Amino acid sequence: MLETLTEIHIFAQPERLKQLRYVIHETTRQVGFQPQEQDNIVLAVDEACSNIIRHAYHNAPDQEIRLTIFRNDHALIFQLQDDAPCADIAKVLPRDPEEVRPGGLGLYFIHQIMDETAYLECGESGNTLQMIKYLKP
Amino acid sequence: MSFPIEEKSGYAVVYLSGEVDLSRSPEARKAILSCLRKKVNLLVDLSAVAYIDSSGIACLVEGYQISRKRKIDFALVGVSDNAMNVLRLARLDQVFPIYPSFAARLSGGM
Repeated sequence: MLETLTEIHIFAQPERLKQLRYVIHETTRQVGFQPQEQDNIVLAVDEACSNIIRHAYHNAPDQEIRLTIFRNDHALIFQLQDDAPCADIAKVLPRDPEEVRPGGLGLYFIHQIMDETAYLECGESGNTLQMIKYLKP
Repeated sequence: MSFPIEEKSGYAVVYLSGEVDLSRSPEARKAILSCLRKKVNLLVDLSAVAYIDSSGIACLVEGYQISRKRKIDFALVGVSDNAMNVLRLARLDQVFPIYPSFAARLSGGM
């Protein structure tokens, strides 16, 4: 059974991410993740939001990010929605961790931390990125 | 809000603190680059960093790369548990010189 745990809308501004991180932290804590996993999940979702701000919205401050967190018996599911033009999925690849350079770590963190990551929608009505973290048995 | 910089024993020490995220990493970058422009040996103190994201890590990587080109000493000191976790995730804990404290760096101890 799928349960909606929380829905939050923020302006796509870097200063707003702290609020989102707090909500994610609380949700993962209440669901029972260990502190280290809580921190990692916060990081992954935060990185995805940063990517929306920088790459989808090109730092436009008046756009919106919508986060919905669901839970089922097996996982916590994060869906991030934006209203930007369709992301070029072919270009959305994590970098090689052996490569030491300033950029490109965000996607790497997302893929390292989350168990599943996929774009559910990519079209005229914006993008929906879904990230799934399995609950421990 | 800028991050404080202290000069001591031939080093500039940039004290990062709090949540070094997309909103604050530009200030972190500014602080680090300002020291490197002066060609001063640089230590970045992460003991008070509660959170750091990839944009914060990118500042450290950029600083490290510039320091190597200019043959300037660069190291991280007092890395908080949270910051170390992110450095490990990025596999950068084996790339940066890391010391438990400023004193440890001066004495050359790990």
